[in-house]
Amino acid sequence: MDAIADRAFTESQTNPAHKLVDETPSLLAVVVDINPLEWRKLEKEQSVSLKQVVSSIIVMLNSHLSLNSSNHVALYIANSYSHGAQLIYPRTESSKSTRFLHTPGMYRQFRFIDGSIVDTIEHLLNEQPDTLLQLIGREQGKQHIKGTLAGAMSMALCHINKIQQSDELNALKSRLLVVSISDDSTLPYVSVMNTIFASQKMKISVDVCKLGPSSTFLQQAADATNGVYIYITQPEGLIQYLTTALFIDPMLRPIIVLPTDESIDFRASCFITNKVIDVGYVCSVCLCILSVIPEDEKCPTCHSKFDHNLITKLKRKPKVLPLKKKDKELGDKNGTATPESA
Amino acid sequence: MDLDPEFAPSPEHSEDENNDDGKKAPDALKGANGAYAWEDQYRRSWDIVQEDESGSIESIVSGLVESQKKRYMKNITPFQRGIIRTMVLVLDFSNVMMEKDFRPNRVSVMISNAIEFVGEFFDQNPISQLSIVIMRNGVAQLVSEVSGNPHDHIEALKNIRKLEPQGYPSLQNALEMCRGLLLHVASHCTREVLVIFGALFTSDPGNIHKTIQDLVREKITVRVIGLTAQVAVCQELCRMTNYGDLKNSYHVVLYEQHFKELFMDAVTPLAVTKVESQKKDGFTLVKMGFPSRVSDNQPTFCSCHSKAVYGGYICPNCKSKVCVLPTVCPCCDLMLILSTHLARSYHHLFPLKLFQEVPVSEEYSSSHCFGCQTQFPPGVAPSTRREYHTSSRYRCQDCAKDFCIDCDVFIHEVLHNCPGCEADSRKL
Ligand SMILES: [Zn+2]
Ligand SMILES: [Zn+2]
Ligand SMILES: [Zn+2]
Ligand SMILES: [Zn+2]
Ligand SMILES: [Zn+2]
Repeated sequence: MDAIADRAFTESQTNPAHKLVDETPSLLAVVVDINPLEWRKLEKEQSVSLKQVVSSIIVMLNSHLSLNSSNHVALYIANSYSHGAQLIYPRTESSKSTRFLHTPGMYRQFRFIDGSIVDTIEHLLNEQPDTLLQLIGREQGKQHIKGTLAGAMSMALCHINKIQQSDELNALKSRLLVVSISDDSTLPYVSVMNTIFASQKMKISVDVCKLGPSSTFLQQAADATNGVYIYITQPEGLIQYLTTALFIDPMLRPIIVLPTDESIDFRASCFITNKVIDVGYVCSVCLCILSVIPEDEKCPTCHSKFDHNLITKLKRKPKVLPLKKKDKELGDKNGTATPESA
Repeated sequence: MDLDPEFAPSPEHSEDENNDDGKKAPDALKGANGAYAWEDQYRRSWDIVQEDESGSIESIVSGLVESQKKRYMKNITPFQRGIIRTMVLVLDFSNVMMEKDFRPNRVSVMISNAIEFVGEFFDQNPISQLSIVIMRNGVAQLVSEVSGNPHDHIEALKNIRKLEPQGYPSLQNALEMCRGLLLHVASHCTREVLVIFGALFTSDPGNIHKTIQDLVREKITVRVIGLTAQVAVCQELCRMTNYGDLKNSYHVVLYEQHFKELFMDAVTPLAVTKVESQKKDGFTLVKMGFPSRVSDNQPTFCSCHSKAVYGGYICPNCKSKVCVLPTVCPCCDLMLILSTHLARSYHHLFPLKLFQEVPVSEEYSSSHCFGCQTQFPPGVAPSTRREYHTSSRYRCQDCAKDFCIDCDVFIHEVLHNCPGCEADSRKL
């Protein structure tokens, strides 16, 4: 009886081709990094503005909605200095405004999305200069700010989780797109890793559209979740990237060769020196990564005392043994001296 | 919490209080009406539900649903934990496993739980290793070798579904096999055995007490999940191999969901006990390599399986190619892992604080869940307040943001970050 039940189960699992006929609606959650300082830098270097990027994103959201009438979108912003991370579309009822009237020749929902997104971002950015001034005015302004990309992603995952739990919406497939501009130093390592594992577990693909400096963490995020990581070299053509390479529906992923980077830098960074290393030592208690053996033989993170014998063993340099041992009487103990120790 | 029959104190703590002659039920064992919990009548959840004055049961049902979800609340005090684990899973395959007290029978429930356990185990302990042994016909049979690849174990478990449980179980034979399997495990790894024991007896070829002594000497920790009742030999086994800590190591299943929960408890790495950390002369530092992934246009041979594969990972030490991680480089013996594998265990070490339930009141500061933006129920006036009303808000103590129960469970079980704290650009 078990065997029969088993077979029926595995067959329906291993044959995804049948399911693909059906067009399942999907949710597209977008996280936009609007770090004002970084945008300023990028505007100078590559002559692309946040405005252009936001309008490209709106086009993407609208085209996603137009594909299927039950498709959903959500837009989050991150790294806003005054507000951190927050959801800006769809807003909860309290902040809904009714002033977006019908525009002739335009799908009403598009008008609504455009209006509410543009309004909110504009409002936020108008508030930013004051906050920025305050922050920069301080001695160590940077110390008071942390990146909130992980927070925005966490919120999006909570939302997606709720959808997966709910009865009427559970057919909705979801994916996450991150438009990032800041570098890895703004990402809190443990939190980002936690969001990556959560999305992996929930089978949510994380696509990354990277402007500005490239990011190892986000690259790993895309790789772990079967997402697409694209480094944008020509931001003028952003809309093209967003509506092609980054527009792959979750249901198509199993049959499409993803336009993503194959070689990925998986090296780790040392907890003490922050150097990127490919061979290191790992504390067996807290799993922190060290590039050197600490002098006091204690873990710098969890203060566990390391085994002295083992440390001396690890510190030992490799020895080169002579190819052929001569007569025991002739060969003295120094015959196996290491070249390094000489 | 007395509304839920499943919260009734379990009979498994009886060994602590058995000086009481069993005439009167000790406090810890009392059910709702003063008798032993297991003498209590089973209270169905639909008996508890009553309509409120508006004739709606919605608020009460949602309260009940929330209390069910609250189960995950565990002790989350940070510990030093043995993160790099080696575990042998011992499954009872004797004829008692054909009993139908679980549906369809014990053995199929056990196997489905075990399959889920394997997935979860490697998800949370990516650099650990597992092996599976079954007790059948008085002997121990190896189902899967010690390995770090979950698919091997899941395949093996699916294969033994066809096998019919038979004969008597032999705990001693199984434990001896575990000793053999754990013999070569490096000193920085934990040595654990998890036994699923359905029978009330064991038929052994020799003296099992000697085997227990050997296990203690070899620092092997044994945990047992009993399916029927407590067995003295398992008690001794757990007490001896867990430094006297019987409460966390020996459990008896009360109902089907409990079985799964006990299984899942074993996923969390064991805390390094005080006794252990004092005894040890120090912890180990393990040398590891973090290889980079390469992609080639032509397949090349990997050094681990000698198969031609596209792409792979290059050992930073000896430049040989391996196809799966984590692994030990077959050429230079360096442990190769991804830094993401390590990061996956970090939440055991930096656990997220539990959220506090906001007390019921007339007015609340929040109207929507910070995570999923679901609307919260409005405040309740004191006059209409009922026993099962809840505020449905769970607050993070650091950022003071409120979350719904679904998000709370999700955040603590899957995400392990507080979205509220992470979304705040100020450093807390
Ligand atoms: Zn440490
Ligand atoms: Zn291989
Ligand atoms: Zn190697
Ligand atoms: Zn929520
Ligand atoms: Zn918080």
